[in-house]
Amino acid sequence: MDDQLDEPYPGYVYDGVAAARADKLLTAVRRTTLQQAEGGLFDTEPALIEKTMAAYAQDRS
Amino acid sequence: MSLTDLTLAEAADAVAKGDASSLDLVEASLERIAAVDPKLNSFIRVEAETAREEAAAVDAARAKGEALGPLVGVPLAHKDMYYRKGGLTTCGSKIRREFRPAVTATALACLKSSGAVYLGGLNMAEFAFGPTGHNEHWGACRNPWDPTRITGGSSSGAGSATAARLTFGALGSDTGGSIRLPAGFCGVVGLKPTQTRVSRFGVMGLSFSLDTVGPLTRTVLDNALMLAAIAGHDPADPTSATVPIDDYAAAARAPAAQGVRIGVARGYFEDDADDAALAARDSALAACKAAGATLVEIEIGDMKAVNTLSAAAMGPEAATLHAEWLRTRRQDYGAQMRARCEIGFRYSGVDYLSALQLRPRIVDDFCKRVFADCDLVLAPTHNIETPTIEATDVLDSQGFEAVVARISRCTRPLNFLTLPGLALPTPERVAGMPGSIQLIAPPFAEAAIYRFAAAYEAEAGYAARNPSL
Repeated sequence: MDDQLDEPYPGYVYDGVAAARADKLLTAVRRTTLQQAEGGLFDTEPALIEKTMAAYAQDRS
Repeated sequence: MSLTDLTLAEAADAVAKGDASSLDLVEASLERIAAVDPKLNSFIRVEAETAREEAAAVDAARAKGEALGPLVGVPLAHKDMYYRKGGLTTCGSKIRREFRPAVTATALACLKSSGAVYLGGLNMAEFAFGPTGHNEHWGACRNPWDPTRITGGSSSGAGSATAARLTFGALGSDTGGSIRLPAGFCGVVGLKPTQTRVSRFGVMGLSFSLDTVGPLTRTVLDNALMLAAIAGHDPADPTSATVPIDDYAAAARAPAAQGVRIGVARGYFEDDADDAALAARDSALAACKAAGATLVEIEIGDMKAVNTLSAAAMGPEAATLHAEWLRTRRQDYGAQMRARCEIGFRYSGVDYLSALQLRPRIVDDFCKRVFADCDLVLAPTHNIETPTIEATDVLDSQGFEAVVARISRCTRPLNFLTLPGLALPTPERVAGMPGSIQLIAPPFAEAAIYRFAAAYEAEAGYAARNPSL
């Protein structure tokens, strides 16, 4: 592992401990995404969240 | 009895009826802050003259017979991340120590038009990124029930000051538990509203997909009064919801628990829990039942996956907001804040967008599955004994993520799920400190929460508790 990574900007000091910490989380995210996105993410988009919330809002009281 | 012992609703009522002036409330609050806050460090800044001027204006308006708002004359302090045009707003940071914004947050403007008076800025985790109440620049905030213990964060001062009766209520913000955790550890009532229910215009951002604005108060009714003042669509925040608002105060004034189905969240919420915290949760379940609710067992689902995806949304968004300062003022960040932001740089665009695209599917599945069997879900707000400030002062040392994760374990899923959650004290305490549960509802069902919570509160009897300081 590099002691220093030249990211996200040239000259930025990003130490190996921080990179290892992040990579551990990143692996978990990618595994979870694969599990949850079974069948793929085609025909999805982030903006659908508003429609989803509004649909349940009809029963709010 | 001091005026500061009144609830927010009682204080507003006293001003409306002429039993006390707004200036009386301000002076009583200032006197208590001077006496008590040196032990707590809950204020970053007390704005005594602003409070006196605003109180005098409210009293003059009342004397003229002008229409009075529901929060008339009540002094409120807020997490120091709500912009006031021309006033200091530190965001709990060194970087913004002298920051004077050019706009006023819509939530603050709404509180003012409801009659509230601004008392000052409250301590918080640096840039709202921390669940314990530590702050390397402004000092740790202390829990009024035991000043050696954490308040929870990031709205640390809001929890501490509200519990200690230094303010009648406070705005906090919640991106992964930052309202509910300090409410939970300090023994007050704290609402994370539905995502987009309250305008975020003029509020410091951390993660725009997950940030919410909400109140911390001593009672359910006080909480509903504050939400009523700030909820609704705001043209200045195009992301704020256009869904109509309910009458939250009316709901809190009409407690109803008979026949309400309370889903008991076990599994994830019980894993790694301290026994005393679960015993406190059980005392809350008993109070729900005594109030007339029916308890039902539910399958809560994979909350660990929800938390993981939440991190994939929050990390890149926080890193994006802080990228320039991390490049140019890296040394001005606290160690943990910097370390947590750095993680966000490592995610790819695909990681980030995958999490956001999965979100509607996960929310839909959760609501369909869980709320088919119950009206509200009950889960612990935190499932541990309140740690000491010393034991959790981990900065960015090896394993700090585990400390952060354990404290915020029970609160983080709600932000990704968009759902409202109200933290309420439990009848039984946890090793001498407040215990807390959260009531969770479908999107925009805050009124249903308040209606039930008011009945629970009457049964649980925590509102009369007062830390001795």
